Amino acid sequence: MNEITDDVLVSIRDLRIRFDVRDGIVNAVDGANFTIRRGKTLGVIGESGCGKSMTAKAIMNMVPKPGIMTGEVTLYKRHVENGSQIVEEIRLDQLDKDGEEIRKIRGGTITMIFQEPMSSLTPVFSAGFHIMEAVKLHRFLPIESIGETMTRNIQKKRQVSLEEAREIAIDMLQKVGLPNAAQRVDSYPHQLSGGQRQRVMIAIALSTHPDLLIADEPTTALDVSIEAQILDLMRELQETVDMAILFITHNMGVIAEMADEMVVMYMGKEVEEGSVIDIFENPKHPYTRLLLASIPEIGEKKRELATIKGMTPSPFDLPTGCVFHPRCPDFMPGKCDVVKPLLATVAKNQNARCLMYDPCWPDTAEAQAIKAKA
Amino acid sequence: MADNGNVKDENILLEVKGLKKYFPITGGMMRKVVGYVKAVDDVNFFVREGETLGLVGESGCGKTTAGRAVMRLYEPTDGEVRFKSRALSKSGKPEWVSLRELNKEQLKTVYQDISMIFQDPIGSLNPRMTVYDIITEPLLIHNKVGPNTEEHVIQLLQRVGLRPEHIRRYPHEFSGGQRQRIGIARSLALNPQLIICDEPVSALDVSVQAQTLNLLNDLKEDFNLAYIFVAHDLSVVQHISDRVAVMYVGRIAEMAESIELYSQPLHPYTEALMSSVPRPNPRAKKQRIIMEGDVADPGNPPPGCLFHPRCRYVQEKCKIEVPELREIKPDHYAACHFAGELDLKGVAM
Repeated sequence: MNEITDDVLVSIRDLRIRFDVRDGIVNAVDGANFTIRRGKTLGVIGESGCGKSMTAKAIMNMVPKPGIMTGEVTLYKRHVENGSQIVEEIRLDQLDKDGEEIRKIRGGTITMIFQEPMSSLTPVFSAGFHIMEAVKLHRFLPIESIGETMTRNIQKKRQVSLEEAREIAIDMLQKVGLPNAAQRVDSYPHQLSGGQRQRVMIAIALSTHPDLLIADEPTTALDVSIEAQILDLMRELQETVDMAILFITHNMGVIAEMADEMVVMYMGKEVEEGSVIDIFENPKHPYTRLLLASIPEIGEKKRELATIKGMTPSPFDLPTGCVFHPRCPDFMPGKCDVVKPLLATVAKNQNARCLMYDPCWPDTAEAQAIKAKA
Repeated sequence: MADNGNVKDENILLEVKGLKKYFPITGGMMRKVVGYVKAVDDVNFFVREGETLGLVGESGCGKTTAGRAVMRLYEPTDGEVRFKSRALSKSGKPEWVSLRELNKEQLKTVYQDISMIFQDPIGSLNPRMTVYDIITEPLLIHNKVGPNTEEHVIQLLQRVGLRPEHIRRYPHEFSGGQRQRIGIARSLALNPQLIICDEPVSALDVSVQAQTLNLLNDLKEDFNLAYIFVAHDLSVVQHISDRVAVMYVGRIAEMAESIELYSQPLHPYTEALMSSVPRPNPRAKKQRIIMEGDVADPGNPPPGCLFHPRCRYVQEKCKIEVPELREIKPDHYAACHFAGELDLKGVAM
């Protein structure tokens, strides 16, 4: 999944995020490579501490201090100019964290919704105010088209006015299915239920017509019936506005419903990536396989759930070789604990990071010698 | 259900009848009571020996309150809780007691038979106590500490999958899953008959959740335990429970054997709830029944059937009359006027 084609929106290459803290160095993300495609949903799944939320922050260039980020995060932004489409390449990782440019992208081109809808809304402002704030900063209306008189079709744009912003806010609240939007626009967060707050969050995120929506566990804090409403809403809206979604979750069911492609992460590394159908039906990495077998599924009676033995290692003291080897049922002594596997294509459109597959062996003399030994 | 006071079923361990827990809403300058939140309203259920009863529902449905009111951690407003206690009987044979009529001293004795596992594995363990102190605390309270205590604690630790050398460590030295195991070991210390598990796996990661569920299942068989398993996750409840009670706004909507309830639900709420669960199968057809609106407010419930504003089979009768929990099929109870008449879809088993 490395070629840059027309439908690539964000490409992440060799992303590493390191935290230098008192107890040592934590590699929160350790060489992530993936691509988010226009209008598609990419799911990122993993257990707590695997670096999935940190990856999302890296896309927004919001890695908190003292985190150090290396690698490439490129946004391919489409413009219409001179009547033709041009694609602008923006290296998000090289932008100034507090600069004008990234602030236009955050909340404008790329928006985000969070897990906890209560703490992501300011309690002293109304729902409408939150949306209007985003709209006023990021949405511009054309005032006149000079294109008729000249050869070049230039549109002058201006900021939306307060009244227009309010209209947009009401319209957005209607779109996300809040009843009585015209009155609810003045409600404060504490007057709304959890599901309604999450709807407001989605309204804020979508009000600026983003190209990419990053959803970090958006339904984890919600009840099943509300979760179903929100997931359906996100899917419907995605169809109408053509945006990509990066969906971060730990819930296999949610990812199966929402995503087209998925990435499985473990201890800051991608262990498997591919289409959702391929991975669910034919998981290649032992971790993915166990993860899928360890969830109780509604409508299926399993006598015993598969378990992954042990627990996730301490980030200060990662195992040598493959980080998953101490918990792996297919552990090969002398190989897995020595050689670090590469992420490589192991089946059509499916990449994994496991020494069971030949392409994952690194091309060094040392590794090849170990491989030849067995 | 035994409705005449005499228990029909020999194996019944706990029987709850008409359990109510109302929390007062105060308002005004004098803090006058202006209303009640009916957190648990007329709940009936029973638990057999060695059986897991799942209590499932959305947040605010009263499942946790029901679990706690059974133990009298919340003093129930009304209702009867009968329990077959070993600890309180003098003859050595289990004896029926009514938990609400016991005095403090007697209740303490009964607590040897009933224990609890909590949701938050961090908050439910005292950070200043070692694992040994935590697990022996129930023994200390009941004057059961003796020369063999340490051995007993080590046995418990090994049984829940921890190592003997963990005995002198403090909770912060453990991961979330291990802390939950300490909580489980503590609940087993007095050899109880019934454990009330309040969302024991919802704070855990998937892989650790599976370990904990398997452990609870093994322990149940080894010690012939009965569980009241309170949870919001329908797939977890289905996996662990023999019977399941679905709660909605303080009332039981439906109660039946796990497989029966999931494959042939009789209450529209159960049907809709099960169809809402995202299923880990990307090819599964998405036939969700979307429930409009939010869960009813237990402080200001709608008239008639509490579910009627969200029900897609709603009729005039539902808006006026409150449906009783009735036995529609043997051992399958539902609180719906039209239970058995509607053609509801379950999930395939």
